[in-house]
Amino acid sequence: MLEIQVPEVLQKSEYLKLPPSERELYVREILRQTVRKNEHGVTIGLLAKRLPFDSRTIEKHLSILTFTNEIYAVKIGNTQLFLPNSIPLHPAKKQSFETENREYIAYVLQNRLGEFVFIQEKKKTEFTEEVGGGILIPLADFKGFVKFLDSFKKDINKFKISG
Amino acid sequence: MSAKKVTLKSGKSFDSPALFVNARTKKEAHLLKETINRYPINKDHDGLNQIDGIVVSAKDYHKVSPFLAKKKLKDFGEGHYSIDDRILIIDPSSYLPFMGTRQDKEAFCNTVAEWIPELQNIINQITVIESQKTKIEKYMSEIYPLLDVRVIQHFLEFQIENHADILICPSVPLSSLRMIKEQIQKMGEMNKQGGILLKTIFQKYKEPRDLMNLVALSPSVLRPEYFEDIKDALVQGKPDILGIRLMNLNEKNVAETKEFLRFLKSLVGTKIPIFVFNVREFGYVTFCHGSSVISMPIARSPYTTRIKGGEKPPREGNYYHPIGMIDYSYQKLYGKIRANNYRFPCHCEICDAFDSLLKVDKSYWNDFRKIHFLLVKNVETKEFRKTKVPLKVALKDKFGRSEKTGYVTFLDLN
Repeated sequence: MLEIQVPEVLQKSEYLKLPPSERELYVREILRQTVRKNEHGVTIGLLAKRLPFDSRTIEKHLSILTFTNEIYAVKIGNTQLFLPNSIPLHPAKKQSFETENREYIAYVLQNRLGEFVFIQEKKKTEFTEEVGGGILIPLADFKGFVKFLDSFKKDINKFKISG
Repeated sequence: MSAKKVTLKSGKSFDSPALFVNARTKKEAHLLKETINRYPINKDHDGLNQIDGIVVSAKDYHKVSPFLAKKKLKDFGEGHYSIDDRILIIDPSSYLPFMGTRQDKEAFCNTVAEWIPELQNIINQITVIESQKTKIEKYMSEIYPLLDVRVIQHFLEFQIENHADILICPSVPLSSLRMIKEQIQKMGEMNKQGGILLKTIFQKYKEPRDLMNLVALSPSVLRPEYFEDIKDALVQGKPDILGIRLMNLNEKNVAETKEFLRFLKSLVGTKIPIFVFNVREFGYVTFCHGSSVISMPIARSPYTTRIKGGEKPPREGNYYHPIGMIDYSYQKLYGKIRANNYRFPCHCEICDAFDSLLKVDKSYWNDFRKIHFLLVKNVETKEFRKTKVPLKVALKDKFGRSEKTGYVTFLDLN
C-alpha cells in the first residue's frame, strides 16, 4: 500500500466551522500542499484516506488545481494520478510582470511530460493575492507562441487605427 | 555586550535585547507619538530611538490606532525613526475572559462581539459564582468550546488587516494548577490550529508575517514536571517567536520567581526567539535567561491590585526613579528631593527642561511622568545594548546600586 505525506490538518469538526469561502480556500491549500509533498503523485482514493475531506470535495478541488495548471493529471490504466506542476527548473527562470491589481509570473518548469513555460496569473487586493488561471506552453514551442502574440498585437494595433 | 539585529518577515527589525512598550489608552499612544516626534536624536540625548516596538491589546486597538499612522511623516526627514517604523504587535489578549478586571473583560467582549456574541452573557453568569473552583471549571466548560478555529481566524485577520508585524495566535491562559493539564491541551490545540490556518487560508495574504505563540501564565502554576508539556504546546503550529505574558508575578516569592526563570531558560533549547510581555524592571533579569524582547506598560504596574477599603488612587501618579529603579508617589518624591531644592533626580530631556518639581503644573504631572518614564527606559535600553561587560555583570551593578537589590539573586539560578 502506497503511503503519502500529508501536511498538518485541522480536525474535521474544526474545519467545518470555517466560513464557506475560507473552507474552500483551506481545502484547496491542503490539497495543493499534499500534491507538492508527493512528487510521485497522488490519487483521489489515497487522499480521501489520509485527509478529512470526502472524495467528491477532493475531486472538485483537484480539478480546479488542474485547471489553473498548478497540478496536472496523468491517466495510468483506470487510475488518475495527480502530480505537482510548480517546480521551477531554476529560481532565475522566474520573472514577473505586474499591472495595477494583477501579477503574471512566468516560470520554466519540468514535469514528466517535458519542459514548459508556465504563466500564472495572481489577483491582488490591498492585503491579499489569489491564484487566477495559468497556461503551460511547451518550451520548444515558446518562440512560436511569442511570434503568435506579436502578430496578434499587430492585428490589435491595426484594428485600433482602422476602428 | 553588542546588540544583535533581528529582522522580521515584514521587513522591520529590532536590536536584541529590546524593549517594547504597551500603549493602553488614547492618551498613552498620543504621548508616545509626541515623545518620538518631540525628542529627535541629538548629540546629548537619544530621544526614543532605542524603543523598537509597540504592543497594543486588540481590545484597545480602536482607541490607539489613530496615533499609529500608516504613512511616514515627511516633516521629520529621512533619518527619523517614526512610530510607524517601529514593530507593531496587536495582542489578542484572549486570556481576558478568564482573568482580569471587569472593565477589561467588557472591553474584550466588545471587541469579539461579532464573533462570539454570547461571551458577555456567559461571563456575567460565571462572575457571580462564589466558589473559585466552580468558577474555573465553568469558565473552561463554557468558554473553551467558543474559542474555536473561527475565533482564531478572526483574530489573525484582525491583526493582518491592522498591519501588525507579528501575528499572535490567541490561546487560553495557564492559571490553575488543578486544571493545568486541560489548559495546556487547549493551548496546544489553539496554537496548532493557528499555525495550520496561517499555512493554508492565510496564504492568500501578500505580506508574510512572523507567527508568535503566546502563553499567558501565572508563575504560581509552574512546576518542573509540566515544563515539557507547556513547551510542546507552545511550539505547536511551528511559530517563529515564542511569547510569555506574565500574570501577577510576586517577585517577593523567590522560589516561584526562580521557577519561572528556569522555565524561561528551558525554552532557550527550542532556538526560537522569546518575548516576555507585561513586566517592569524584572524584565531586565529575563534578558539574562534567554528573552530577546520585553514589553512594559508605560509608568504603571503591569499587574492589577485591589486597593483595600475602596480608596481611589491619588490623581498624581508615580514617578520612576532612574537610580532607585522604583516608583515614588508624588508626595514621597516631594519629600525626597526637598533637600535638593526640588530638583529631579534625573537627566532625561524632560527632567532637564523642567529642572524642578515645583515647575511642573499638577495638571501636567501625569503626562510629564510618562514622558520621563519613556525617556529613561530608552536610556536604560541603550545602556544594556552598549555595555562593554556581559549584561549579567552590568545588571548586577545596576541593581546593586538601586532599591531592586533583590533582583541580583535572580541573575544566577544556581
